[in-house]
Amino acid sequence: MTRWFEDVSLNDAFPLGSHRFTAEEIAAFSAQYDPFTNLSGAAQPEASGWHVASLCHRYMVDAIAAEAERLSAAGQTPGISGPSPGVNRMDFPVPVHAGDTVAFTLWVTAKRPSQSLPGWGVLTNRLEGVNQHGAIVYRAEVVAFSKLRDYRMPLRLRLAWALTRLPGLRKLAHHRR
Amino acid sequence: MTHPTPCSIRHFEALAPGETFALGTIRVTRDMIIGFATQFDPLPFHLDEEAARKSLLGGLAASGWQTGALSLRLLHEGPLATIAGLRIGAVNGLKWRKPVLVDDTITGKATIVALRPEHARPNGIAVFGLDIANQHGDSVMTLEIDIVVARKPAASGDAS
Repeated sequence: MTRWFEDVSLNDAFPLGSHRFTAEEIAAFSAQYDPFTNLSGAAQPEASGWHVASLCHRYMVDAIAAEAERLSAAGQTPGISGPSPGVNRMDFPVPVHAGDTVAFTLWVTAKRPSQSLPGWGVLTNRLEGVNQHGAIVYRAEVVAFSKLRDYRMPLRLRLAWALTRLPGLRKLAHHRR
Repeated sequence: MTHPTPCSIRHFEALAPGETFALGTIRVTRDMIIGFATQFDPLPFHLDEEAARKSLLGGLAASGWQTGALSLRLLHEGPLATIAGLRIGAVNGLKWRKPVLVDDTITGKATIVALRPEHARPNGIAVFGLDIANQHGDSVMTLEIDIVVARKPAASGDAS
């Protein structure tokens, strides 16, 4: 999220936008990463579920960037998103075919401060893709890091952090691992 | 009509839980990382070396979605080359454990951890556990993926 962890509201729907899948992009992704032969006999080529999930992620990244721009324009400092540690679950109840239009939506369903990364919060993101007939084609629960705005690193941790920045010590720590 | 799949293709009935497959290797180049990120994950730490160094990832790193996509390719070049797979049904418990950095080589292991009927549909589900590792042997991603697999077609109408 582009909001600071403290400002993230739970269970609000964020529309991320709609994507119309073309036969060309479906074929390109499938050929490169997920070349299932079309044994199911569908008239239109079927998109890889991973393609649908990756595109949903793209729409989320774009929505976050647009929101950051909007906040900056309003004179506010946008929050900072980190990389994602994982996906709890995702599934693809109905196949996506060429010509389908899928609308993606994000909800943040839970948030907590991270145990392992001081200064960061952990968000549970629920994502959903719905086709032009109203059928759910993709749903997922993805974990994401979001930076804490009101965090001050304890002195002990700041010291440890500074030590790891010394190249010699870093190498030593790496060897000992 | 004769069934189009060759005899060497394994249907759901031919699979056994516990089967393990060694996967091939893919070297992940800078161009591949930036190419995928431009299309699907245009965050600074997947596009720009300087921004990546300052981020939690510590260096220009592949999008986790790319690591997943590449592991699917490894699965297709490996076990799925001879299995009557239809599509991905679901993914569970995916963990991105370590960043995949420029010029890392990924490989891994796939294990059939469970077999079950597809809910309300005629096919079967083969659950593959994937453990993807880098050239140092460090695990970079683990997940369980449900692959929908066709059952052996009925003999009727098949001359052979």
